[in-house]
This record gives sequence, C-alpha cells and structure tokens, in this order.
Amino acid sequence: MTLFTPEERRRFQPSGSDPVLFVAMLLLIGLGITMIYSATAQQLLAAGVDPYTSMRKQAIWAVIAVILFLAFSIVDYRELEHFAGGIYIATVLAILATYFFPEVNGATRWILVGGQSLQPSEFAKPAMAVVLAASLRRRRDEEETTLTWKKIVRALLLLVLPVLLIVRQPDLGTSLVYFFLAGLMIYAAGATGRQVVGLVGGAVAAGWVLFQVGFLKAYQLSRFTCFFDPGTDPQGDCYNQVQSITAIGSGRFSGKGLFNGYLTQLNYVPEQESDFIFTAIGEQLGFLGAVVILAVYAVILWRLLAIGITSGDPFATLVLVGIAGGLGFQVFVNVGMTVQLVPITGLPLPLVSAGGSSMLATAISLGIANSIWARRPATRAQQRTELVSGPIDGPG
Amino acid sequence: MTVRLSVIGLVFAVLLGMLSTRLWFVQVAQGAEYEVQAEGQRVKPAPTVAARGEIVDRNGRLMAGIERVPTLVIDPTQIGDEEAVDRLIQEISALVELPAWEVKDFFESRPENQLFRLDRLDGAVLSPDAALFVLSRKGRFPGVEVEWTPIRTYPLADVAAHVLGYAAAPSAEDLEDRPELDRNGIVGKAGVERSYDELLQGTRGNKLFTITPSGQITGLVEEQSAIPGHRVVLNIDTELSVVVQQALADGIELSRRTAVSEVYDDGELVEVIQSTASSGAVVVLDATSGAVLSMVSLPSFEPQSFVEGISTEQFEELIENKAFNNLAIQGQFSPGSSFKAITYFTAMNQGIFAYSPELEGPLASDVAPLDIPADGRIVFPFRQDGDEASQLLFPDTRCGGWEVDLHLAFEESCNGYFWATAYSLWATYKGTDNEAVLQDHARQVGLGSPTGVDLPFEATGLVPDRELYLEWAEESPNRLAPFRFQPGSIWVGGDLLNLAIGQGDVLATPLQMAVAFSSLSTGRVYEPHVVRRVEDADGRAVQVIRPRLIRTLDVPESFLTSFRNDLASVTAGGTAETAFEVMDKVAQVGGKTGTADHAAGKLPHSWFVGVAPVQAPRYVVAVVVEEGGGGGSIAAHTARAILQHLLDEEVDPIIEDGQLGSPMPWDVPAEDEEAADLPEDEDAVLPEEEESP
Repeated sequence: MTLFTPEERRRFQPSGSDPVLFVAMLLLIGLGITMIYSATAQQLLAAGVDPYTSMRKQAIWAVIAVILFLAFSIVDYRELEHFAGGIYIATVLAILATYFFPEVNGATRWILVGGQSLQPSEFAKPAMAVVLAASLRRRRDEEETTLTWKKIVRALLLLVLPVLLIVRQPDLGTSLVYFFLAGLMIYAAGATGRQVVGLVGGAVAAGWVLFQVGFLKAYQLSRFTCFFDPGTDPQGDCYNQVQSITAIGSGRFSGKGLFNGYLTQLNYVPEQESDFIFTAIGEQLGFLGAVVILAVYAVILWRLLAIGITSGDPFATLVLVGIAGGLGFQVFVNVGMTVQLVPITGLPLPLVSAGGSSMLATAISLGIANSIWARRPATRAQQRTELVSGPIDGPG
Repeated sequence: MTVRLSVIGLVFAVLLGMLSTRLWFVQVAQGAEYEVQAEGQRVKPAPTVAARGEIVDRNGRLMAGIERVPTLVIDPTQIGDEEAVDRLIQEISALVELPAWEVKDFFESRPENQLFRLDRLDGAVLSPDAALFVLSRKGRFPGVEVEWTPIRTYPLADVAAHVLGYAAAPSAEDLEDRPELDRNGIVGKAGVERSYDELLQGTRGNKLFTITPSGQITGLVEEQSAIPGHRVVLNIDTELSVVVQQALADGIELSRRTAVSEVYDDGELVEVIQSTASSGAVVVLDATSGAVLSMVSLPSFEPQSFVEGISTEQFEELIENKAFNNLAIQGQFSPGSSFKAITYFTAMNQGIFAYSPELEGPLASDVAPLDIPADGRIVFPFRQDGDEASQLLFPDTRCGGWEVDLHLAFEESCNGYFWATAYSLWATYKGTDNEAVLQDHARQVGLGSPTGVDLPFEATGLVPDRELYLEWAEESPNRLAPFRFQPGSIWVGGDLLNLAIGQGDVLATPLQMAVAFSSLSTGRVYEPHVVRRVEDADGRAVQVIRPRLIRTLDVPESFLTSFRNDLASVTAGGTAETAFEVMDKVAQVGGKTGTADHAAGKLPHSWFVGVAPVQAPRYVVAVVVEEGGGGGSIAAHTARAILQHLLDEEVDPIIEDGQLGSPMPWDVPAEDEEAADLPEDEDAVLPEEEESP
C-alpha cells in the first residue's frame, strides 16, 4: 500500500524522539509511584499486607506504559488517520462492553482484560482525538480558513454516542473531557468567531437545560453544594472536599516532607492514591513541590502544542490539540477539585494517579505525539545535513 | 494555525496560573490555619495523671500518700455501635459493682469521643482481680484499658485531719478558677492540701497519639511524662497531735460530765444547764519560730472518705456537726479572761494601772468607796450577786474583799481590777488619738487580723473599737448590742471595760490566742506556719519556710519576766491550780484561763492558754472547749495533759476512762494491707510517750 509519494516519504522520515516529552513523562510516572507508596504503605501495613503492593502494581503499569509510548512512537501516526473509522467503532464497542461487566461502586466503567480491569473511557481520549482530527482536518482541496458548520456538526455527532455511553456509566467528569478537547480541536481547525460563540453559548445553554431537567444525580448536586460551602456537611458529603484542602493547606510552602503528611499518612483523604493523589503531593511536598509538578505538566502541554506547530500536517496538529486538551483539562479539574477551585469529579491526575487505564491512555497519547515529532518536516539545518550526508535514521 | 495553537497555549497557561494562584492562597496565605486544623484532627491527647505529692509530718511520718490502683480508662471511639456500648456498660457495671444506669450516666456525661477514667471518685472501685479479668479478656471490653492511677491515701485516719484537709474531684468553680486542672483529677479542697495544692499537684503528663479517621491509634507523636507533685513536710508532729486530740476529746467529755451553768433570776436559782459540749480546738505553737506543732479541731473527719467516696448521708452528718470547720483557725470565740493578758500588757506598757488620780465622773462616783492607793492596789468591797448591774461594778465574787494588785488580779482573774484598769485607760485616753490603746496592743500581738498561717479560710477575729461601732451604727445598728449599758450608743467606756476582760464583741481564734501568748511571753511575734519545707521528688528543697518574725514587742525584759511569773502563778496557785495539781513539773508551766460568756442560757467557752517551759517559752498551747464551762475546770485539764506530754512527763488522765493513753493509731495491729504499708517512724524527735493506763 503506497500511501505517500517517495518525496513525502523522504520528508517524513522519523528523526529521533522528543527527549523533553519522554523525560517529563518519566518524571511524572516516577513521582506517581513514589506518592502512591506514601499514600498506601501505612494502610497496607495496618492491614498486614506488604506495604509495596500498590506501588509495585503501579510500577508494572508504568513499564507497560513506557512500552506503549515507544510502540506508538514507532507507529507512523498517519496510519491512524486511515483507520479512524475502525478506531471509532472499536471505541464505542469497548465502552458499550462495560455495560456487560459487573458494577464497581455503582458504576460500570470497567472491562476485564486478562484479569485486569481497564477503563475504555480513558483509551477513548486519544482515540477520539484521532477520530475528530480525521473528521475535522482540512482536506488538501479545501481553503485554509474554512470550517463549515457541516463539519462541526459531524464532529459533534461523532462525539454524541461515546459521550452518552460514558455519561450513563455514570462518569460525568470524563465525558466533560471530551467536550473540552472537541471544543479546542474545532477552534484549532479554524472555527470562526461566530462559530465559537455559538458553540460556547450552545454548551452553556445545554448545561443549563440538563441541570433544570434534573439530569444531575443527588450525589453530583451535593458536590456543587460542598463546592460552594463545604461547611454544610464536613463529616459526610463534603468530607473529601474538607479533608483534601486541609491536607494541602497544611503542607504550607515547603511541605511536611515526603512520607510525612499529617493527614495523608493516616489516610484521612479517601482516594488519596488515585483521584486525590494531589493532596498527598500538596501536603508532603508543599506549594513548592506542587508548582514544580504543574510546571512539568506545562512543559508537556507546551511540547504538544509546539510539536503541533512544527508538524506541518493539519491532522497531526488537530490530534495534538485534542491530546493536549484532554490532558490539560484533566490536570486542571483534578488539581482544581482538591483545592476547591472546581467541584469534585472523578478524574485521575494523568500519569500520577494509581491505576492502569489512565496511565496507559496518556502514554499512548504522548507516544502518538512523539511519533508526530519524529515525523515532522526536516528543519532547515537538517535539510542541509541531508543534502550533504543523506537522510538521518531516527530510532524508529 | 500557529496563532490558534498559541491561543490554546494561552488557555492552558491561564488554567495552570489559576491553579498556582489558588495553591498559593491555600498553602501559603492560609497554610498555617489549615495546618492547625490538620494537626487538631490527626492527634488525640491522652493525659496521664501525675502522682500527687506526699505530705509528711516533721518527723517524716506519712500523713498523705499515694497508692496506685487499677482504674478503667475508656475510649468511646473504640467501643463500636450503640449495641456494643450498651453491652460494655453492662459488663462494666458488673465489674465495678455500680448500677448500670449510673455507669451509663458516666458514659453520657463525658465529652464525646474523649478518653475518660472511671475511678473511685465516681464510686467505681475496681479490684485488682477485676483489673486482671479485663486485661485477660480484651475482646469482651472493647475500648477499655486498665491504668494504674495514683490515688490519695490518708493513713492516719482523722489525726490532724483539719491541717491536712483533703483532696477531691474539682468542682465546676474549681475548674473555672483554674483551667489547668484535670477534670478527672483531684484538687485540694481544704487544709494544706488546698493551700499547697499547686505544689502538690505535679504536672500532668501527656501522650499525643496520631489517630486515623476512624479513631484508631497509630502511633505516639509525643510523650511528656507526668512530673510527680512536690513533697510537703509539715511542722506538725503527728504523735503530739494524737495526744492533743485525745486530751481535747477527754476535755470535752469532762465538760459533758461535770460542767453546769446555773441560771439565776432575782437571786434565785431557776435552772441548771448541763454541758452539751461537743467541739473544741487546740493549737500547739513553737514559741521560738511560729511553727505549728499541732492543730486539732473536734469533731473531726477522715480525709480518706473523700477518696473512697462518701455517701450523701455521711457527708451531711459531718456538715451538720461542723466537722469540716477547723475551729483552730475558723472558730471565733470570745476570749474571756484569757484576753486579760493583753490588758495586762497594755497596763504595764502604758504604766497605767487601776488607779489614776484623774479618775472622775461616773466611775469616780461609783468607785469612790474604793480606796485606790498610788501603787495601783485596790481593795474591792465584797458585793452581793444580783447587785445593780452597771457596766462598771459587776460583783467581783472572786476577788471581793481582797487587796489586789495587777499580779494577783491576773493570777486570780479579777474582773474588777481589770475593769478599773480599763477605766483608767478610758479616763486617760478617751477622745484622744490614743483612745484605742488597748485595741492597739491587742493588734500588736496578732488579734483582729488573720495570723497569716498557711492554711485556707482563716478567720480574722474581731477587736472592737469606736471606728467599728460607727461602721455598725451605719450598716447594721442591731449589732450594737442592746444589752450594753447604753444600748445603741457608739463606743463608750463600758465597752472598753468589757473588752478588758475579753467580753463583749471581741472575738479570737485559738490560733490567734496562741500567737498572742507566744508574743507576750517571748516579746517576739511570729507568723505561724504549718509547713516546714517543700521538697521535690529527689528530696531537694524547693521551698523552705523559715520563721517569719512579724515584729518584736517594744517591752523591757522586766515585763517578760513579770508576765511569765504571773502565768506561772496561775497554774501554781491561781485559777488553774486544781487542773495542774497532778503535774510534777507544774513549776515549769504557766498559763491563763478564760471563761467566756457568749450567750444567755449557754455554758461559757472554756479557754486555757498555756506556756512551757514558762521561764524560757518553747511551747504555747491554746485550748478552747466550745460551751465547755469554766476555763480552769475544763480547758486547763486538756492543756495540762498536753503540757505534760510536751515536757516528757507521764500524762495523767483527764477522766478515768478517757481516750488519753490509747495507743497511737499506727501501733494498732494492722487489720489490712493498707495499714501495714505505713512507714516506720524511726527518727521521731519526740520521745515515745509512755502511756498511762
């Protein structure tokens, strides 16, 4: 199957890996493993279990994640565009499959694969970035500036099925990620000012209507109540909200020190190894540590957008915007909920929170980004080198 | 595309900026508050009880100690659901032999989710066997620990109980006044236990545990061990105190058996009132330092009953009997003739005796028949009982017809002579700045104000003067007693005459009289002290109470000699002669009797204040038997027995079947383990008393 002209093939030779992206990813994974140990060791000890259990599990996921990152770095991302339809169908089916697996904590978010539970809605993030990018991308015959309503509607329609299935799981937080990444992709694809206003207005109106018709469940409403006034039920509904902000606040500027959190060491914050792992970070590493970690995310987001700018491929750029949107939104909501900046939703902190699906999905996303970086158009300097010594072979 | 991606980059920058700003607020701006909140919820304090300091007598005999007893410590967070709590209440109820509802009350009255103790003060006595039962069946008693808590023991029963006082659970007021107190601990309520409470308390220890959200203890953050309270060494001699208590009890019994008061109407005997005396007090002072060697008040109580728990009936009975009142410092009595020592002091000091050429006015007309020679000797005409009762010339049956001077008047306690002396003072100083010369002399030797003894609730006594009467006239006119010669009048000569013989409104505590006699016989006024020194757990002195000389009386040695001689003649041949007949060393003692009328139809208070050795005063013994009768016939006997003991003489009984001579409580064969634990009294300074049969 010849997809590219020899000229194109030569231009898009993979040329190495983005070291910044890779190192940043490893940093976050390493931090995650450390914090998971800190957040679980005492409980596991108390339960008479090996204190390294959770940490070891995460480390295994990390190894798989790195392998997936490298695998997707090698795979030519352009192949993805051609399989976009298949990817879409596989995604929807995987999410649908969760309904046939037993509920966990009243939700059907997981499927069991080889004894491990995986969360299709996590893998759907890079998948939908690819699908939407393929749908929204400018064709070679199209004007650069046009983005028709038709395309926008098509993209939104593609979004409807998986998102509805995810909302029904129920997993409102994750479904919001899709709207955000889709919104950014539509904007990046060239939506006009009027279209942007229309979409944002429509989203707000839709949200308002859903709220009015009682779409939100009681526990979701109570999160709003707690967000606005955690004092209403500090020992009950708002317990997480109160405990997490207390733990983070008590970290103060430089933190209580690793493994020394007042509250996280004593398991005061539920889910402190998964969705609320940022409380352990905030308490033990302080403002300083928290900001450094946010900076690592900022570097990743910067790399994703920078790669998007240099990719020279509208599809690649849109995929990267989708990946960056999903990642950025998730970091903002996850950290924001621990410090009462946004209401609590069940989103993990990418690469750091305990759990395989989110980490693997993020690694795949970053692997795709790396693949794009490796296949970017050669810089002038490289072109000059190529003229002298021929094409440079990348690691892939 | 580049522009749009830059805009998206900006969106991310804004979102991350918001997070950082918010984190700054939470962690840096408000971090300290959150830290306090976090610390507060993750630790649980568990105070440990400090052993209360011991109280020992001057010879090291234990008066108040500590014993460790098993106590249930209950952690309500560890018990479980309501059903488990109910089950536990049943178990505990059976264990400590308390009705379940009472145990339930304790559970419900304690602050939620805080450790609490269920101990003897709550009436819950846990036997060592029961403690072992709890320890061996942990599963049956969730949230229950056994702690060996130090509790107070008072091994000497009721000996010197009022000096010791007692310690008990703090009241609501105690906790309000002293927020540092442990609501589960004990606090000194009376006596030395109260006045030295802060030193005795020690410092509570604290264990700070970290707890999980479910209340499970996970570790020890901090432990401050409890610092035991200081040891307080008293000036009190317990052995002496036992003798004193026996002598006082026998004195009271003597009064009940022998003392009567005859009531006359129009010269006819209309009623004989039998003594119902039941109370009294004795103070033994070291005249050279103010040290209180013994202080006994009857009826007494057993401080131990506050540790074991005391029933409401028992408590009310003790209240009814005024058993908690330390009459030695709280009982305010008319001093009667014992006050004549002060009049004596004033007369000698001012050089004004019963005679003064300036005598004029009502006294002159009434006393005119008296021949008052210049040397102050007066011959009193004998007057019949029932004579017209002027304030001045009451019949002086005792000294009537005698030729009396100050010395004989003191020896025989002649009212008339002291009246005449008072009148001389009145005639000399009335209306001048020096009008209150007698009162001033009384105050110089410690009357009319607290002596400053280191015990709580000391009464001030009362030395009346014109100022006081003016005050009363304004505030409580009915206090200007209507029986006075001029009812309702402000201070008149007659009031001074009353005062001169210790009658009227004057009031003094036994301790005040002891201080007064100590001062007059030595010339030095000391502040009395019950506590000798305070030591820490290692025996190092924390505080040594040195004798505190308040003032030296401005009197010549000749006064002291004269006063001592006159004290001696009271016991040798005066009003206390009978009581002291049996004493071998009577020549070495002296004193003054007092028979203080205080209310119609009641026996007078019986006083005796003794000094020994009288020529070089070392001991001062003040005895009062409330409504006991004559000073010479009742209190003097008690004082005599005590002085015999102090001078190492075999003590003669006061009444044949009395308590005197009973063995010391610590010599009684041990009935149980507790009594056997009493320390041996090896280095007692005072010689063993040889009991008379």
